[in-house]
Order: sequence, then C-alpha cells, then structure tokens
Amino acid sequence: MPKLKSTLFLPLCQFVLSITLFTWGHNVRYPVRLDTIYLPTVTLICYGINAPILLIRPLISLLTSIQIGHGPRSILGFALDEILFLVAVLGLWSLVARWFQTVRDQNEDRSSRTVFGSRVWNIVVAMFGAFLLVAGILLLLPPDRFNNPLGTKVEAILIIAWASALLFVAGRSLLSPWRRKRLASSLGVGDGVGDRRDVF
Amino acid sequence: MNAAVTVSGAVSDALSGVSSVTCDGAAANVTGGNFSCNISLTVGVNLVVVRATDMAGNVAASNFHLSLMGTLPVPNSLQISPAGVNMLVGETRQFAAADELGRVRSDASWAVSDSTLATITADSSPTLTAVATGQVTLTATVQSITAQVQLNILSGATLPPGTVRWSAPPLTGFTTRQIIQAVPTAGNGPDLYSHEIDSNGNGLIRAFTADGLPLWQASLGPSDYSGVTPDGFGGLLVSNTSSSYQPSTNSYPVTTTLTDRDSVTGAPVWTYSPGAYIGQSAIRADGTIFFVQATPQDSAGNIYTYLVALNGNSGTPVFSLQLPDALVQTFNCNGSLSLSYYTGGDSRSNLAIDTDGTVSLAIISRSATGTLNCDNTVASSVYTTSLSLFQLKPDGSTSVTPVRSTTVDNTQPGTTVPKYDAWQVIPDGQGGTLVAWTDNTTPNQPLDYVTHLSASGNSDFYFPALHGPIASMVLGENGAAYLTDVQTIQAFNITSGPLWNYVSPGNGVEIIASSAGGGLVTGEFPASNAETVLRFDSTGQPTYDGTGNATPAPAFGSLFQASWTGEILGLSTSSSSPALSVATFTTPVVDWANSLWAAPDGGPARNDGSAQMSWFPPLQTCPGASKPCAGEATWNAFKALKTLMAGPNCPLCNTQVFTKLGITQSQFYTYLSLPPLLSDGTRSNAPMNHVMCNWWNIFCAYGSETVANFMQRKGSDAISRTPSPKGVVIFFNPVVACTAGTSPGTILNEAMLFHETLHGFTGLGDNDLANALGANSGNYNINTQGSVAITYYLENYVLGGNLTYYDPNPSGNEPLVCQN
Repeated sequence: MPKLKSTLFLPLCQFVLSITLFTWGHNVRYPVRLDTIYLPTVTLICYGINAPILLIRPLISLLTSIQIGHGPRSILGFALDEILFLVAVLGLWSLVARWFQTVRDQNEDRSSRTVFGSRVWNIVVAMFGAFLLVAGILLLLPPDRFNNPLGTKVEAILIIAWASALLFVAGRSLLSPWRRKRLASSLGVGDGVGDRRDVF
Repeated sequence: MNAAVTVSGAVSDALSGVSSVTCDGAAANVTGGNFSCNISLTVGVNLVVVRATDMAGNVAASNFHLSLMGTLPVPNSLQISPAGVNMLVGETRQFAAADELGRVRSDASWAVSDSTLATITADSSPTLTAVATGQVTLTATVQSITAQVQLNILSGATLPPGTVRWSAPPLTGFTTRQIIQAVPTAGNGPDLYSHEIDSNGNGLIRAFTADGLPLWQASLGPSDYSGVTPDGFGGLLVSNTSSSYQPSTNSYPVTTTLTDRDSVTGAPVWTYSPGAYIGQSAIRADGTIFFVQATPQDSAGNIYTYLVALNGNSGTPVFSLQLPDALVQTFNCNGSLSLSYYTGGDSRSNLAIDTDGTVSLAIISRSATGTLNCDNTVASSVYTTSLSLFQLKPDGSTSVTPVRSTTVDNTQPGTTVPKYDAWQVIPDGQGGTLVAWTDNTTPNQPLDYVTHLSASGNSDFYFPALHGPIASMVLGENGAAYLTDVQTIQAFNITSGPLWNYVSPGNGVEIIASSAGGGLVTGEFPASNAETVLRFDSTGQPTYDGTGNATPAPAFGSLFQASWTGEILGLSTSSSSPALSVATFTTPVVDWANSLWAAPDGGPARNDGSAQMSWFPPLQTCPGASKPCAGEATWNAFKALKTLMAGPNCPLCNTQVFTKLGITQSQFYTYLSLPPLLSDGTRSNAPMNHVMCNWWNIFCAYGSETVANFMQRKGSDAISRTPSPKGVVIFFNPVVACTAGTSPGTILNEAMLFHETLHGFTGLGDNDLANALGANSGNYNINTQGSVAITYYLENYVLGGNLTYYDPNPSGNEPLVCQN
C-alpha cells in the first residue's frame, strides 16, 4: 500500500499543479493586443515542467483536429488539447514515480530487474533526452517565441533540465555494465556479471 | 526549346527494399540508396513526379516543379482572358493572352482602341483602367499574331443585376460543360477550371484565377464520358469512363480511369485504372479520395461493389472495403440452389465526408429469393428491398444502419415489389446524418422522405410537396436544411420537420447555397433555360435580386454556383457558346451560411467533403457596389501592396522596413506572389493547431480550439500564420477592414496587410517584429498600443497615412474597428 500511495502521489500532485498553472494561464490577459500568439509565463512553465509531453504534442494535434465540428470543444474550461495534455501529465509522472520506486526497490533488492533497466528502454530515454536538449537550445535561440521572451527562456531551461536528467539517467544505466566490467577486472573477479551484489 | 535535366536523389525502404523508381513514368537508375534519371523540360513550369515502389508494392511519390526560362515560339493563335467584360468607370482589371497551348504570353504587347475611354499599362501583367463610358476594343499582339476582345464601360455606382462581369469563352470547336472551383491552397494553384469538350468527345481543361486570368490548359483526350472533381490539393481529379465488348462475358463492361491533374501545370500526377466502374468521388480534407468501385459482371453474373480509398498524393489504394450487395437466389423444388449471384446493389447516394472524416453512403439493395415448383413454375418470389446507411468511421470501423426495409412475396395477389431510391446524404452538423430518399413503389406517385439518423435514433420526415428525385440538399444555420426536386424548394428543421416550401412558377429552381442568417440562395429559371437569383429569408419569403419579390432580374445563364468569395458563377448563354462567367447580382451576392454543407455536394468545390468551406470561409464581397465590402477592401489592399512591391517606387520600404529586417524588396515581392489565403476568421471552425502551424510542430502553441473561438476570446482583429512559407495565411475579423473606399482607409488596410504579411514572411512574432522595426517606443509602441503599433508604423513611415482604428472598449477585449 505505501508503494501504491507513492506512485499515485507524484502524478496526482503534478496533475493538480498543471491544472493550477493552466487555469492561472487562462486568467492572464494579453499584456497588449497582439495578433500573433502570446503565452503567459505560467503556461510555459507548465509546458517546461512536463517537457517530455512535447514529444507527443503532434499526436495531440492530430487527435484533436479530427473532432472539429462535433462534440464539445472544451470541458470545465479546458480545451480538448489541454485535457489530453493533462492526461499525458498523469502518464508521464506515473512513469517517473514508477521509476523512482524501481530505483528504491533495486537499492533494497539488487537482483530485481524491470523494464527501466533494459538497454532498449535506456536507449529510447537517451534519444528523448537528446531530442529535448535540441528543442531546449532551439527555444533559447532567436527569434523569441510566444511574444514572451522571459517565459520562453524559462521553458527552455526546464526543457534542458529534463533533457539533462534523461541523458544522465540513461547514460548511467547504459554505461554501468562497462563500468562493472572495468571494476570487476580491476578487482580480479571475472567479468562481473555474476557478481552484482559484490560489486555494488 | 527543350532542356535535359538529371534528377537525382536518395530512396530507401527499411522493410522489403526498393523495387523501382520512376521519373515522369520513365525508369530511373537505382544504385544503392540513390537514384538518377534524365527528364526533358519545356519552357515554363514543369511538373516532375518521382515515384518509388517497394517489393511489397507500396508506392511513395514526390512531386515538385522546375521552371525553364526561355523564349516561347511564335504562337499560332492567341486568346485574351477575361473576355465579355463589363466594368464601371474608375474600375481596373488585369488581362492576359494565352496561345493555342494555353501558355500565358508575357511577351504580348497591348493596345486599346480609344485611350479616352480606357488606358492600359505596358508591363507583362497589363492593367486596364476604365476612364469613360463606351465600348473599347482591347488588342494583344505577339509578333504578328493578334487577338481582340470587346469590353463595355458603364456609368453608375453598381452594375445592373444579372450583368456578366467577365467570361471565359471556350476554345473554338469546344463547348463549356462544367465549371469547377478548386479547393483553396496556399500554393500556386488556380481558383477556377473550365471543363470543355468538342464534338468528338475530346476533353479540355482550362485553369483561371478568380479574376479570369488564364493559367494553363490541358487536353484530356477522347473518352465516352469524363467527369471532373476538385482534388484536395488545388488540382483536379478527372474520371474517364469507356466501355468495350468483352467476348468472354458477351457484354460491354464500363470501366473508369481516374487521373489526378497538377494544379500548377495541369500535367497528370498519377493514374488509377482498376478495370472496373468507379462512381462519384468524394475528397476528404487530407486529400484522400473515396469512391465506390463496381467490378465488371463475371461469368456467374456477380457484380461486387467496394468502397475504395486512394492516397491523394500517389494514387495508390489505401484500402478497399466490400459493401453489402444484393443477392439473388433461386431454389429448386428439392431445395437445391439453382441460381445465385450478387447484383452489386440497386442504387446509391453520393458519398459524403463529415468534418471528422466519417464517410457516409446510403445504399439501396433489392435481394430476391425465388422457389421453383417441380414443374419449374414459380412457387414463391420473395423480394426484400432495404435502404441502409453505410458509414466508415475515422477509426476504421464500419456500420450499416437500417433506414427502411420491406419484404413481399411477389406471387401473392395485390403485392408490389417495393422500390426505393437513395439520392442525397449529408452530415447534420451535429454528428448525425440526413438521408434524402424516395419511395417509388407506386408508379408515378413518388413519396419523398428525409431520414435523420442521430445518436438518439432515426426520424422520418415526409414531404408531400416534393415529387421525385432529390437533386440536392444543403444544411443551413439554426438547424435548418433545404432540399429540392428542381421544381420545389422544401425547408425543414432537422429535428422537428417541415418549415416552408416554395413551388417555382417557372421552369424550375436549383439550390445555390444556404446563406447567413438562416436564408437560402437559389437559381430560378423564369421561363427559358436562363437562370436568375432568387433568395429566401429564414421564413421562406422570396426576393428576386434587384427587382424585389415580383419580377425576376434578367437571367444570364445556367448551372449557377457560388464562389468561395460569394460571387455567382454560371454558364453564360449570351455568347454563341456557353461560357464560364461571373455575374453581378444584389450585394452581398452570397453571404455563406455558417454550415459545413452549405452548397450542393458540400462547399463551393462540390467534392462531397465538408471541411474546406468552414476552415477558410471567404470574406464577404459585394462586387459592383459603390463601396467595397471587407472582401474587396482586403483583396484590394493586398493587390496594392503587391503592386507597390513590384515597382521601384518605394524607397521608404527599404529604409524603414526591409533593411531593418535583413530582407530585400525583391524577396518580399516573390513571397507576395504566392497565392494568399485571406479568410473570415469569425466564421472559421478550423483548428488553430492545424492552420496556424504544422501539426507536427512540437512548439505549436495554439490549441485545438477553432479560429472563430480564438478570435472571439482574444478580441483579435487579424491573426497570421507565423511563419507561412507557402504564402500568407491570414484570418480577419471583417470589422477591421476599412470599407468606405476613401484613401486614408485604403492606406490603413494596406498597412495592416503589410504588417500581417511580414509575420508570414519573416516568422517574427509581434514583439520581435516591433523591436526590429523600432515600433517599441515613442508614437508607435507595441508595449502600450499592442501590435497595431506595427500597422501604424508602416502606415505612417512607409505608406503616408495617419488614420487610426477605433477601440470600442479600451479596457475590454473587443476587436479594433475601422470606422472609415
């Protein structure tokens, strides 16, 4: 039960935080009349905190466009794309919470293995990280976007932070067998594969 | 003059591998992951089609254009377009001359017969200005070949209702058969097509701008019958149908070939020839082509029908679904099957594509089961006639919803085999469907129905005023819909039934479009084959344009349709042969209804797709009126800006704008030459994250709300796609357009267009654009005035005006208004 609570707590907190930031953003008026997009800083912070969802934004665009002409365009003040974004927030942070849980489990029982430890998973995470890194750097470069230079830079920094975290986590996992091997060979205990508990 | 060019590129297929690559139909050399091929270019714009096929038969296509500069040969003949022009004193109009192959001759020289009546510029895009009333002959000459047209210059503030504004007569020996309006795109495509045919059945397509300037012509070759539909990319889908004797089945099966024609050149892009009959096509918003394909009758008598989807870009089948076909079976007296075959269905409606991509089709099938006595006399003959709605949903699922089904034994005395006909299917705008059909069971007593299929069930509405085939059905505003049997217009509410009807006292009536405010615009044939405009308000009160409710205005032609900008198009009968024509009626001509199926077969393009009209609704126009509407005001401002940028007379453009932005006037003029999309954003239900950005752009900050919602929520006057490399895309609130026709207002409109176009070209948002121009302090300060500071800056420093907008509520969210 405590594990369940911890894996629910983080996504729910982020979900509430995202709703709060979105709602706050809805209530921010354009500082002046503009005819290109303006995004409030709080909205950009929300995007930055949930940066990996940028990667599925095209999917959200596609899903929402096919509904045009039918059905409600918004529910409780949130547009369909925002609702899909919030669902994605739950998914993203559930994944993060499960990852934290797995790391804790592995600290307690180093023989446990999950998808988070697989090479393919880490390669995918590394690719996402690299993509976000490029996206974050692009956001820092001119021209400014969203008619909000400060907000754009804040979002960019949050995206780069996400990218750094993903690259670090994935890189660490991908390099660990090599590190183990080097450590094992320096200790003279074979290739290290069967000696996980001894090495760590 | 031709030139050989080598096209090379990379090609790959991760699964089965690349099988072949072709360039314009010729095999390319493929080595490793690269291909190369030699193609021949002619002077002008050339379409290049590269198609790669993998081992599994999948096709990927890349189409692009190459231009070859050079001198065209001496023409055999010339034709000036537009022709049959009527214009008012003070108006201007552009003309162009095309040779016998439809190539526009920019090397033509131009002259008017009387320079006191009209003047014409001497550049490659000659503009004629009407100076005084009278008749003028306009002459174009290329080397020794000349062409002439007459034009009438009239006095007054407006042209009389029913006056043809311009025509495009068919080529000699041809007759205009059909006018087709292209789906608007942000490319170099035409607005109108004229489908012409000669006495031998040879088809021809000619492409025009909305002002009647010729762009290209393309021969369609001979066919028994050819139909033309706009494709989803601004081009055309041509269907050629023919039949030939097949000894194996002793029959003449009808087969159809579909050819997609490029919007820029008219050249074939791809051809689909399945050896089967293809019905009317419907085009989805993404360009996918849907149609019903019926196989030729096989030796057992079977005909099968399929709903087929083609990739609009490559012409390759995306999928094929077998439709429910009628089955005929006969059993012997011992119960054994004597005869069994599928008849391919009895009749079908049009295909209709809803805005969510749902494809709907009404199908009538009449299955028969006969039983023979042992002496081979008929024991029973049971017919089941059913009308059902077939739907293909966006998720790929299908459904068949029964509408009406009747079973009778024809051997019983007094029974009649039921007969239904499905005519029209349209979406109801609320996720449901309207099906117009006729019960023809009793000879000469057709009973016309509309069945409304929605989530809450089916509702049948019977219309005793209608008699026979339903020619068209459109959706209006406030839940109203309209249908006609070409003699009577019937209005009904989609949930509660009949509203009003109108029986034409003349030779008939046809629906042109539903209009704003719950009205309907129709074309009535007063007595002859010529048609005039008859409008109805929401209560069914009829009014003839320009003459009130008693006398029809002069008729000018037939086959009326409303253009994207609300003008009336039709085949003029004033000349010796019917000609594509644009005529003036009471303004506004057609103020399109806020509806996803406002015209027969959908929107102005009439390709049975419902999305296009409501994504880019045109700004209202009122041609011939003394003062412009928002449509003319905006388009005139765009043209004025383009003219300014074309010439050397704008030193301030460079010092005040282009130098500061690091661009050149020439680059900006080239950008302005791309056809713009200028739409009424207050009536657009396009999703912002599709029309303001590419859907795959991860930084697209616009949500899925509609353009209209966005503009209302933000109080926007205009929003521009930023950047918009394929041409400017702007949604306006019409109140921002200055429509008094005065010089200050015209300059302000031009400044606004300049401002918005700079967004599309540079990709800079308001803040960056204002900072680059210096409109961030002093009299023009974006931080206090908002983005209108950029418009004022351009108006004052570049164009020489000082008019400002009226802000109805400085502390609120209402859009700025031009009161001039």
